[in-house]
Amino acid sequence: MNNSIEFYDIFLSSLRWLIGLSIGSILGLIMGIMTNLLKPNTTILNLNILDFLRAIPIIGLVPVIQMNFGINEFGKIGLITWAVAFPVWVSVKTSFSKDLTNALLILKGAGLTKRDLLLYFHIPRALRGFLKGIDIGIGVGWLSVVAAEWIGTYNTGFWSGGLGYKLDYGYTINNWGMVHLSLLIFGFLGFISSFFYRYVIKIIVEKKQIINIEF
Amino acid sequence: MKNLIKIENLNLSIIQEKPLLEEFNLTLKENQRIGITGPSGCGKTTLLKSLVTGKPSKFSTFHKFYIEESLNGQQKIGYSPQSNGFMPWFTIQKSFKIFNCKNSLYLEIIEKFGLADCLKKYPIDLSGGEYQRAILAWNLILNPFLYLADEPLTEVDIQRKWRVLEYWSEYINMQQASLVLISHDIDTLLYLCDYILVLSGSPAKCKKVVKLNSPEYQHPRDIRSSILDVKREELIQEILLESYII
Repeated sequence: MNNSIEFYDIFLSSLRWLIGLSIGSILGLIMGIMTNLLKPNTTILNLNILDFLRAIPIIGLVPVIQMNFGINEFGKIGLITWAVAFPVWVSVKTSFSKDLTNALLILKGAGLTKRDLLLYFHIPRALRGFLKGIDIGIGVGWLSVVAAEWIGTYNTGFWSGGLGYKLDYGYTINNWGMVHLSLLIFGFLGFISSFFYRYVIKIIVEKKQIINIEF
Repeated sequence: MKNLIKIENLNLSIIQEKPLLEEFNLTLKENQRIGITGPSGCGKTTLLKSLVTGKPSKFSTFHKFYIEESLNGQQKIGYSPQSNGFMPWFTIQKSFKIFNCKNSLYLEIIEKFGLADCLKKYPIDLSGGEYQRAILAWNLILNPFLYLADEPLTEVDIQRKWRVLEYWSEYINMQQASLVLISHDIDTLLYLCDYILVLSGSPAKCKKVVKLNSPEYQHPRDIRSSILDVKREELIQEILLESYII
């Protein structure tokens, strides 16, 4: 085990984060749409099983994943996916709130077809929630990378290493420089990824006036 | 003339056994304009939303509740809500373009409503008056056979308001459309409507119908005309009577 942080550690953590973020975002979107389609308002305050699941701490899942999946990537990326999916789900779910009922009534009164309603109303509304959810998911994703890499990454071939793992390892060997540097790099990666994401969304989505979104 | 709206004995409620509006009747025929006024919270907006959706709110009871959803193959009802009518994700121009409209008419409406500077803006960037004018203009672009307007020009400045009202009234005449207008503004009601229903009480009931359907009141009207003074007085009397000032 190398006693320093390498670019390869940053690369592996970023790769895990990116895969988890991508799968988690799509999962959150599907969950959000399904929640609205199924209209679970039969339960008190629209609570459902997902509200139960999202309250389970990520750290608490580390030993469970270790026991069931070992230290392979499935468990680690699964943990990041789990963490990202819930903020995206909440954001998509709340984007379907009632405050836009009047706009929908105007479009329905105008006799728009179901296809047009989907195109002009339902998809942009869900898209706004989805994009905002990803913005939250980016930060949550980095938080969960640390927890995921605590599962262990030693001697796993291509996947050996990771910033979160180095953070934990630095603590074990009392190398506080390594711990602090890991934290700083995590902060920097979170900042850069949020900046890059918002910048791209602003350019592609807003400047072209496809949709208005504020972060 | 065909009935576009026929409501008989409607008890409108949003909470069980607590009607907002009681024993309400309304018949709107083609080319007719009906105004409704009454205190806040008496169910006017709920009534209008019920008309847009085609069904009364939950817990309501009625003998008949009918609204024509299409006329001469035209499935268009123009609804101007008090707030939140636009989709926040589109610019005003993009929202306007959703409804197909002849370009010359589109440009005329934009000009008459003074909206040229608002087209590239998002709804959140508009002032209250601009927002209301834009919503009404959007309705006109749609060219509906029935307008359902809920206090559509309350925040518009007085000069623009009369220019817009003049154009709207002409437009309704030209398109032979019908109107249900909710407003607290007596002059707007007198200028646009053939019948004005005054609601009052709790639960509210229709206490008076002011009729302006005789030939001397034909559109376009002059709001300064003395023939409207009698009706204005009639309305004010009824409204003041209800507020227990007299």
